[in-house]
Amino acid sequence: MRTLLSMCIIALPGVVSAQANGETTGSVRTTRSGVYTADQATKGREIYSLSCVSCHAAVTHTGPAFAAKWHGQRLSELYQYIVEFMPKADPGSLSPEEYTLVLAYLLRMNGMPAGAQALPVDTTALGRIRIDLKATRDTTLR
Amino acid sequence: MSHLSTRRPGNSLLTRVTSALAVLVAAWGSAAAGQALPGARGNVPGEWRVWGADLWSTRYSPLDQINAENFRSLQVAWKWNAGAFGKDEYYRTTPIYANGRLFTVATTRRVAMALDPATGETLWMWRLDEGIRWQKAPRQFAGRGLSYWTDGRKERIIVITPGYHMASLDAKTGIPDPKFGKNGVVDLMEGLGMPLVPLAVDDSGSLIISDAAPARRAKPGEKWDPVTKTGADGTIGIDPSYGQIANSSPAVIVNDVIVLGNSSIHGYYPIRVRNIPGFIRGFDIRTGKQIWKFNLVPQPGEFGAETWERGSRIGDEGVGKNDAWATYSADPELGMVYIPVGMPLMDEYGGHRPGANLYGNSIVALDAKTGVRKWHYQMVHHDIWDYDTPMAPNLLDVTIGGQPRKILAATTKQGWMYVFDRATGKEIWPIVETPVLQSQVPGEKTWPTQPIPSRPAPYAQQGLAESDLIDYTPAIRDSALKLARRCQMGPYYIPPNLTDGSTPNGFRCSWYAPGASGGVNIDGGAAVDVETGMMYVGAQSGLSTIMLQKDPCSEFRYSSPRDNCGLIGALPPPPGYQPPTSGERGGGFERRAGASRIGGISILKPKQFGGITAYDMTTGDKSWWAPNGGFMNPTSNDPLFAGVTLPPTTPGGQAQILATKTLMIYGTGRNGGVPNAKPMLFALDKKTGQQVGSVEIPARTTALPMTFMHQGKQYIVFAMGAEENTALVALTLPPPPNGRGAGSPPRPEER
Repeated sequence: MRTLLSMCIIALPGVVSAQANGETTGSVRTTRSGVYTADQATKGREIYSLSCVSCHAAVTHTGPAFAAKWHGQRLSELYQYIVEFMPKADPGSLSPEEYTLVLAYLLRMNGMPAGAQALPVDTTALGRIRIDLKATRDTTLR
Repeated sequence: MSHLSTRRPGNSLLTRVTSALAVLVAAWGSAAAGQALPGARGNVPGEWRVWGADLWSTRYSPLDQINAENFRSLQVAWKWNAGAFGKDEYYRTTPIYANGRLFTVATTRRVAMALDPATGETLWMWRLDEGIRWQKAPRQFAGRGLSYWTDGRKERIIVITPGYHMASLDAKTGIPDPKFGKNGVVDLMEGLGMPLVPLAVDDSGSLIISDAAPARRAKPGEKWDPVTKTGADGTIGIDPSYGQIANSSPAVIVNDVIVLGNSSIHGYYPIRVRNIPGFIRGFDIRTGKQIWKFNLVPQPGEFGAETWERGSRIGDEGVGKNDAWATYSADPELGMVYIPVGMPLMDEYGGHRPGANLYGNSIVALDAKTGVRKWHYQMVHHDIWDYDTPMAPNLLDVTIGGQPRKILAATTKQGWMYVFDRATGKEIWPIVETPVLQSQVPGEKTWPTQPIPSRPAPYAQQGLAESDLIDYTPAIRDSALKLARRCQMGPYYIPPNLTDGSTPNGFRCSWYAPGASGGVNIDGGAAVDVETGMMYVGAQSGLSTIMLQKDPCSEFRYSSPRDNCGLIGALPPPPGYQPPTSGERGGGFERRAGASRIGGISILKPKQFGGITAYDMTTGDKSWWAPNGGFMNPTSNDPLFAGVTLPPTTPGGQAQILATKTLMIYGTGRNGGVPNAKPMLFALDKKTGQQVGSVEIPARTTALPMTFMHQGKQYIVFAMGAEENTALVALTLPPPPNGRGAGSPPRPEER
């Protein structure tokens, strides 16, 4: 069983061992393995435009500076941050589904590929996705 | 700079028909426009000639074809795809209707358009190519609208562009008036006393909130590189060393004077401790000539300059903003215009600008002909909470204590309504200077008192006290209190603390309610029933936190958590600088105790705040309250709430309200209403607040709706959408079956 799991990890780029990241159960994917759908990102973009963009420029959510803060973190951490602090005037006021869609859009903004599987509305599941922004294109200094 | 003005081709028949109708309507309109019609307030009954319906900003229409009986049968008459002309942020525009045409702006270029009100067909469009002035504009979006003027013969549309030009267009054709400014356009960067220079850019992007990646002064002989899209493109503008200037709201035109101001950079995370301040100016409607200028940061020798203890000159440290970016109202009979003024630079730290900082956060009443100050009232002294005055004040004539009064009611971000005699500025009900908490942040000198209205009662949560916390069980109360005590609590105007906990009180944050978006913000605000003296206030009520830390690449000693390092225009990183390793730019959120929820449940008890609050302005009493789009039934998986039946809560967002003869109508706003619910437009009974109608709409409203009568049909029009999906939607009643009138009650099965 252990051997089989290891083979799967080798076969799937973007999937790493949970134990290597200090997790005790389950496998961990990275944001490069298509963890959201294109439809989610499109819907998330609209929510972002309605609820976020008047305070944020997209450039502040991309590039090396953003990567420096979030690379290696679990997606649940970023999700939790957004839920706890955004929108600025009324944090936590969007629905969990809406926050998840915004998260999908943030991933697309950062060049993460879309996939067939929807980003889950579940912090436990998001905790099994590691943010991989290592080679993100520098858009901050444009 | 080049104009583009186009008229719809190939429409000869329709044009003739429309023109014929226009002549008929114009004949009536011309009689109306030059007179002070009773109750018209600068509007023609049944039209919507001003952003706020009329110069009093009542958002009231005497129309009653759409009523409680037929509201549910409203249908989409047309949908005008603004996104086809270009992208936008969210569509924040309220169109105006005058003399048989509908006028709007659209896209980040702020294209001015005329539409056929019956079909949504585009009649003409006009835009200006503003080069770098547009690229680096702090408010690069469609804006809130435009302005209409007529002398009964000529009709003009006045539009202010993102790059801060003003154009006067023929309302019939969209062609710039050659007698106005230079070929129909006035460069609003002229006449402010700052030098205009050739501009250049080092990147191809927009200004980054707040003032990062700005334009710069061009070098001698510098050219435009079309490949990198950098360099000098021949654009002239205010020397960028002074800062940035913009516009986001339409001018108000009163007694043939165009009164306009400016908006500024966002004050969230500025790099530079000086920027361009706010101005109000009057221009001749016929020539575009500047008549007067009023400084919203009083210059040396002017009244109020002493409220800037370190100096108020343009370019002095700490001087900037105080921009009146919202819409204005006016009383043509009194000859006065009422200016809601925003806050000074920057949002949450005022250590570089000690003093009360007039005319920040004030209502300023000016003589519209001369620009002379008649009165002013500062509602927040030395603001460090981003409490811009966000909305045109509402003007009403009501009877109070048996006396007829001409009043002005200003709804604000801070959740209070401030009410004055609009001729004199005298308070209608006492507003009491009240001692408030004082900042312990180094360099900050908070004002010892703030003015608190004795009435009306607030419409939004004020700060955070123990009595505000949920207490469904002792364990819930203890948990809520433990969470609440992580940030500084207090009744209102709680000053921020430093994220490193180094202020003597040891707090790393402060509770912030209302937050930077209010209370009332430009999305919401009030409508007035001019017949009864009722006011309906759309607001939100939330709880967030406020905190400060040093941005290592900003001139500010402290600002809201942020790291501008590496951005164009930022200071070089200090020796030993290390980028933050978690949280948003410089956020380090794991050190910030900001969350206001336990198990997804707010620690605030649900209250009748936010949503829609109705006030009887003859007494200042609250009459009724309604949630913005309905109630929510919260649940939590947290064991703390096991066995507890949680009371209903209310959605956030700003209800976007208008009042008619018989209804109070509202959309929930861009981020309001019950999450995941279908987007709706609602109708409430004006006396009771009871919902009497609702209708599903294509998407949530993103700006204040408006209404008008055109060719015998009443329409409700509102903006929706964002990016390339922006649109105006027009609702009207279905065609009358079997010869019944459009306003006839529907058959029972239609209800």
